[in-house]
Amino acid sequence: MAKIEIQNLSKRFGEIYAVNNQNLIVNKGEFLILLGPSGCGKTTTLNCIAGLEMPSSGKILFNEIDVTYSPPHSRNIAMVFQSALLYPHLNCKQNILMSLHKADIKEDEKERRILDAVEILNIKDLLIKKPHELSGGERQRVATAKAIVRKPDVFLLDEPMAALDAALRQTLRSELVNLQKKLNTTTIFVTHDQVEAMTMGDRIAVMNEGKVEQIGTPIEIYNKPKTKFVAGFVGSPPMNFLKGILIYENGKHCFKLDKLDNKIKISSNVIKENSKNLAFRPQHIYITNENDYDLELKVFGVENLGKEIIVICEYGEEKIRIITEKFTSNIGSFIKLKIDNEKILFF
Amino acid sequence: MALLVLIIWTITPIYWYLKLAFLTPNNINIFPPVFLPDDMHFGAFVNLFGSDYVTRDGILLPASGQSKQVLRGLMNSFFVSIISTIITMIVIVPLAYTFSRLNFKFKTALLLTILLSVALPPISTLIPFFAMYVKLGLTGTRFGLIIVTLTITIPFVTWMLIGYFKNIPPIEKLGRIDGLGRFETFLKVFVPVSKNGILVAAVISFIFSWNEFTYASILVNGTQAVTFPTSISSFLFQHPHPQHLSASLFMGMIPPFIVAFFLQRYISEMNLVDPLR
Repeated sequence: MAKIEIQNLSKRFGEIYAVNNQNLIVNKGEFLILLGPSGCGKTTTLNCIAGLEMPSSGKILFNEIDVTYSPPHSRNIAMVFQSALLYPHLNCKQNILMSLHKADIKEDEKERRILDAVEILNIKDLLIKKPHELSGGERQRVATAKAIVRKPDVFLLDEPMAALDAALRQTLRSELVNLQKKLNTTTIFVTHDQVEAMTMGDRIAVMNEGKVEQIGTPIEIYNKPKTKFVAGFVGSPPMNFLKGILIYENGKHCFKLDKLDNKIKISSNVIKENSKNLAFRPQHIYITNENDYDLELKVFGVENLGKEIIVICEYGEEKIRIITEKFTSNIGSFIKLKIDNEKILFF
Repeated sequence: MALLVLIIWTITPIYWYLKLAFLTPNNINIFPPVFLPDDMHFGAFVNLFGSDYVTRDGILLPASGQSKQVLRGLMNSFFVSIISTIITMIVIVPLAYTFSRLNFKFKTALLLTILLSVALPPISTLIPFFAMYVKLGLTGTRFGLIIVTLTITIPFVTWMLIGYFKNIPPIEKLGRIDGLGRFETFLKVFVPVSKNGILVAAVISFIFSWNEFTYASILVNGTQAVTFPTSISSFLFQHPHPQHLSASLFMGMIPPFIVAFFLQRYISEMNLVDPLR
């Protein structure tokens, strides 16, 4: 178990900053997710923590000890790479043994550790197979076994499930979290999939353009996004944004939209001054027949998911998404919408 | 249907010519020629290796006067091809690895210089090579021929292998996490993983050396170091024995044929198009 501290970390490739002056603390035994779109610097950050890349500036501390320039192997970490990379020319057992290749432990101890890992991950039958004979999920398990036999202080996972199909990912998600809680090893998990992030992490660090935009528990990130980027990135379907300006009129706060004449009434406890964007989640807007509505929009598309229906409306060139349980109108017709005043966010 | 036409179009002339290797001179001269003659034999090959051959009809086919040249050519060709292939592989595997997997300054410029030498026609360097070899006393030696062959195989096969190496997943990272050194990773992990590509590269390099004709015809022809392709060309000035020429051509075709057969499985894996990517 280790506490990881990243101080003012920067990594530059040529003129481009992949990671820009980043600060991050990962607590002992925590499952931290680095979430962000591709190219946001999350993998570079992870590689710096692993020691695969040297930062341009800044420090990385493991348990208060500076490891910024020490080689990967001396940091006692284990890493699982994209699509659970294994040595293609070795069978699974040899692959797992490679983890202990430089470790100063006896043969029978190695055997015992492998047996433990095999037991935990249920991969007994796979040991003599080569990686190309395995399915995606099996390969994932073997890669995880390879990681845990080392008894590392830190697990680093770089989009290990990116290449798997949705159903398999769902199973492996809970397995991985369960394992992490059992072993109680500090874990950093890189992903661009916000569902993975929300379901697996103790905390999520949302990254954009080389910086952490917000760090917090999944609930915090979801309910109280600090920036527009976080708000737009987390949640499926994504948050809706309306551009406009906040005004004060007749003793009441209103939001005047750029594209429509409507003014949306705002309750005073959600106000944030100088805001240009009004945001709300698709489940916080209702279809209504009353005259007290906020928007009247043309229906562009309807996606029926069974338990809920997503209605997509046109708002200028942008699309507004609404989650509802019943929907009877047709594509092309106009519907009246009312936003839940208390759930509005401003950016 | 188009495929069938294409196959017939390609195969027929080759068949027609190679058929000559199995006929007696009299049968070759029969008019109209027979498409599938019934009395085929290996006489020409026996002659080519320096022995007389008597057919079932009692016709004596004397040994070829070129047999010494041809045999020496075969030996030299194997020697030169194998040695230059070994040297090529020792040089290019680390070279291609460096260019495909590592980053350093002036990488593209250096790579382009290597690749540009592929674009240079061998004939353009022939005269300088000859002048230099005369001074150094390397004309007519297998050693000299190996050096010159390397100038062809190394750039070309490096170019091929770079594309292949780029498609190998980033296993070096895995090696570093497991505490392997850079050299250890290369030797124990990277080379075994990419052995198919390296094998193909070796085979192609062998074929290049085997088929090399331009340099060999000027630098070693008519000497002790004559190679197989040049020894065939010397039939030109001898008493014409179509069956001998055809038989030696047949032997010359066997190695590339085996290789082509063997390559088609692996070659699609190699990214030959764009090594600079």
